[in-house]
Amino acid sequence: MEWSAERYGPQAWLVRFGRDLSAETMARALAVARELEAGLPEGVREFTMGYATVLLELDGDEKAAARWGQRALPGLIEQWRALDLATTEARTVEIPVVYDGEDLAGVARQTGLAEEEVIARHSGRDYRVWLLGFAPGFPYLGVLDAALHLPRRETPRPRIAAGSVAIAGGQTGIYPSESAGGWHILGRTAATLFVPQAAKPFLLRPGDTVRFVAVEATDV
Amino acid sequence: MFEFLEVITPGCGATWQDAGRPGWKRFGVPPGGWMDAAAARASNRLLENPEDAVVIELALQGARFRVLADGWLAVAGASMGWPTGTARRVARGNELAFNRHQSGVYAYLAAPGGWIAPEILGSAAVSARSGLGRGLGKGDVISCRRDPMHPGWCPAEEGSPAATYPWVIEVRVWPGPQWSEFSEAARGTFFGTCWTVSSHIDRMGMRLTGATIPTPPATMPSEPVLPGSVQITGGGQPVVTMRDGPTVGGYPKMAWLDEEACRRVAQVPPGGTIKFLPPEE
Repeated sequence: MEWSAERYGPQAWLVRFGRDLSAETMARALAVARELEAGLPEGVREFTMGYATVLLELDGDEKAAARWGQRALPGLIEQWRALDLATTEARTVEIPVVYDGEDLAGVARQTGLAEEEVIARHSGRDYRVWLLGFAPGFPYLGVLDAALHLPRRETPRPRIAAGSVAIAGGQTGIYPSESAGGWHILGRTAATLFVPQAAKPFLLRPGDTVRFVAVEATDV
Repeated sequence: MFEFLEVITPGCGATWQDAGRPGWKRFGVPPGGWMDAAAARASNRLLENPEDAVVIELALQGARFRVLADGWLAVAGASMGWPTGTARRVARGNELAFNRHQSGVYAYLAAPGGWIAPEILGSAAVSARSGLGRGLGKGDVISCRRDPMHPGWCPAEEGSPAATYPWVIEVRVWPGPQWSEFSEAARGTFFGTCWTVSSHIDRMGMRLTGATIPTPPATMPSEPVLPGSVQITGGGQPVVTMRDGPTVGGYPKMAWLDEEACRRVAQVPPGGTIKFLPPEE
């Protein structure tokens, strides 16, 4: 995979390091995020991760950003290419889920699996937090069992309750606050992913291991 | 702390806003903040407040307030049946009605010293969809930092002439990250169409109608999205991402609007039209 970089407006660069949702792309994303979390390169004021991209927003004007792209960015990319992708120690966070989501039956029908099998496959493996995005504290988790890959719902729901656990494509995630969304809802969790006033507002961080544990409604 | 107004109704929407909360995008937190920074800062300047003091952002029309104490207020931005671009004396017992939409979308209401509002992650900017605060509601009593009778200076009742916002605008764009993945024909449609602002506009995004743009065949994994991005949905409709929009998304981005272009676009009400001009070579 070739790394590439392009302008995103006059003051930002978007660096691309993959096209697919593979384990290797995830390892790269986590390694780059870890580097940037440890310290922003000079001239960079903020970074945002995508699955296979990182956005670097720069200080200064258009000219300074263009110059930075020519002088500093190639070296930075070289450094990132050389990063060790071996998995570093990750925290494991268990998320209790009541699997009674409104799309569970539909997912079972579309995948040809029994509902119990959908639940078993969803909760039967560990995921890693690939990135946070979309809404505060929303974790994009990889990688979902291939038997559960479905396109998004044709019509997004205007309202998805906080705590909803959902899937789309090769992804699974948890809605931290009520929002609209087009993912298939499998269940709900009582875990709080975003507490705005807390010293540590976000439950999950990129690189964390997440394990969904099926529980009965009375346990939540 | 000086109690100044009581909310009778927030109308189409009334929220605390300031310059927003940069630095949190990688946690999924949108930058937020005023939709029209120039108008918001102007409202603060009319009272000699710090430019970044908290203001109330009103959307479209309908908001009404009861005045609880004699004092000064300033309004800038959209015109909603109340003088805009000026500071005004108001008296206890008055009712302020922003109930006639005349031009623009977002108006800013400033009070002496700035309004007092709860801060989350370093900013008072409300982003209700993100679980960051809530809009003003009926019966809320709101307070400002200075004695309403004594703003930073002695304001004149006539300010600069009120801005009127056009219903038809042209804005220059920057190429978006997927610019080159759109076909020549797709770009031709994008720049050749006078886009109509639909009724689906809010602090997250503005949906435009007018034509269908052929989208690139490949689907892409979600990637970072900046406010001002013009995304083309699966159905081929442009959506302009605004201050509270998602931080990452999977729609291809044809173009990007800088802050000045973005605030002009934000002030075009439903039914108004926007023409995009190709990037400068």
